[in-house]
Amino acid sequence: MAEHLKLGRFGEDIAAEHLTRLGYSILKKDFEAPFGQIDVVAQDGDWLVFVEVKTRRVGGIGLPEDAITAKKRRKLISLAYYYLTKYKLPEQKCRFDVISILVGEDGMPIEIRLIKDAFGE
Amino acid sequence: MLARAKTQTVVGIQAVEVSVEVDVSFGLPNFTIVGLPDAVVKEAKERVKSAIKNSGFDFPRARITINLAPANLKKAGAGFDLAIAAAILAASEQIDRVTLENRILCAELSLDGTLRRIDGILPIAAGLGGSQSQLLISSENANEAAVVEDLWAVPLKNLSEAVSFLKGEISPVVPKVNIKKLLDGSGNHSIDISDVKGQLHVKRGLEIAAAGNHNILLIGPPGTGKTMLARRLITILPRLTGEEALETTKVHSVVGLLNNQQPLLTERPFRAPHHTISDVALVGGGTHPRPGEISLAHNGVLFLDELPEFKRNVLEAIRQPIEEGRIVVSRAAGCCAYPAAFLLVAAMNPCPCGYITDPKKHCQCMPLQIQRYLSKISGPLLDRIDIHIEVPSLKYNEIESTSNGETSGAIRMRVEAARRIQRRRYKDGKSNAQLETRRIYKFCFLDADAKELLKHAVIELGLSARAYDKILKISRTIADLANEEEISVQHVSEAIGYRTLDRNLWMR
Repeated sequence: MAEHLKLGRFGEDIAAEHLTRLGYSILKKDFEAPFGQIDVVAQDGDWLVFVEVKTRRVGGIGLPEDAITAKKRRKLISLAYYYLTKYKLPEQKCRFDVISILVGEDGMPIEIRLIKDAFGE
Repeated sequence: MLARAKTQTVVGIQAVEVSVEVDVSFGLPNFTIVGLPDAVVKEAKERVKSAIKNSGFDFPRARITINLAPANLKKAGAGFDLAIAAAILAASEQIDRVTLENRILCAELSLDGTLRRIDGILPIAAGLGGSQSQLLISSENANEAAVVEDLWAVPLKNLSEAVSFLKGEISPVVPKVNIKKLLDGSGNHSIDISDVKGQLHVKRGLEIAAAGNHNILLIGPPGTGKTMLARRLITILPRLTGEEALETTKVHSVVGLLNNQQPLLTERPFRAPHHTISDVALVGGGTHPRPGEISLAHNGVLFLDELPEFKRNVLEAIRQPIEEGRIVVSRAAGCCAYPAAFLLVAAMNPCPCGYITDPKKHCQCMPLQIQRYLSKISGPLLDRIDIHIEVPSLKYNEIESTSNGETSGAIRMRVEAARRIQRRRYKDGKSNAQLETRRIYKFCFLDADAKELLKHAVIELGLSARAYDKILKISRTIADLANEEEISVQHVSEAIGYRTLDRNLWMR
């Protein structure tokens, strides 16, 4: 597995742990759709939460969350639609969260930040 | 959850009700506005979202669909913000939906929830006067709306204050504006016609123009006071009536020229657009039609300085409004009528260099140049200008002299008296200048001597039929100013003197 994919998988594991600690229950990891995937789908109370995880090494360019561009957001929204359609949940309250993880040089996470309701529409 | 709030928008200078319907349902967070919104209305999304959050309320994380009805009317401007915000709060059950009934909400929101002023609040307020509906507006618009009597207006500072009001927790103080008092103060101008030295016959010409509502053209070399004189025409026109003031103020309100310090126009407007103006800016128009200079000059004076320098299509565009006193602007977005009853004052030099009529200076223009210069003003336009008057350069003793003729106040008394005579005679509010041919012969009655003089003038000076009618109308006004029923020989001879261009004085 390529180095950056390994980092991504590592980040998703940390994110799932972090979410569980905060009281979310993880429904799906790496939900696959024909045109992409959602990192984590979780339940937070009434809310169905689609989580995008971004992991970066210290010294990289910019913050992890900077990588969530408008294009990426649009893609996540259509992925979410796909999910809601597949499981027949048209009236479900849902939102998008972003977890940004900064990994130090020793490979251990330095900072984990959860951005609730990061975007909509 | 569905909620509805009402707001109004202005089409032309008429208010139209727009209903804001909001549906909040669960699902993927989404926010759409339908009902032909323009870019400003679409951006309401961001303003409303931030304003709701920053005022301490919850912005629902849900599918929000907003419909602005009637759906076929194009919506422009930020005046829908408050209604959208209130309807969202009602749909998400943060306020009671019943509180929005019988209330019209018109204000723009800023990100911190402050209510900002919108253009065109006066036509909206005027339409609601005497009705049961309450008008919720920004306190920046308070005085403008307060001009309307019998209106239930509620000025508010910000969104949280608006919500407290809707919940019945506060009742803001409604400002009162006394129109009578405002208008009583009018007529005290900072300028006066006696500021202008000499030029007594031009002042007389302006007096006649004011008395009979005749359009007037001032012709003279540079620096002789044409602009000064034109500016002072509003000081001798009759004082604005309350109705006229409201009508003109409505146009100014739509364009956004008013503020809390000056909620009502108390003086007749004087508009002097630069000669580079476009036809649309002059008569009104645009994708979403807006009134132009001629409508801003409604019930006042439109001054076109350096008349031949205006683009031809611009000048031709005002021909029809001069006749009708209004302009109908038709565009893809809609068609609307603006009032445009103005008194046209134009000024020009007699030739390109300006000095051909000046006895002291030497004119360097070739005859062809002069002809070309004069021909920039079309016959049909000139046809609509009754009085042409020469403004000569002053002699030294006139510049030096301290007696400058009558004050504006004295002249205005005569003008108002002459207007009263016309109102009594025509009964339909028209003035001498607006007489149709049929009524010219009915009301412009010449005595025998006067008839004889006019006959001579027509034959000797080669006056046209058009000039003949104009002279009759001007004579009528001169006789009215003298409070005489019959037009006598001196009235006619004075009137002939105001047709300089018919006599081709300097085109020898």
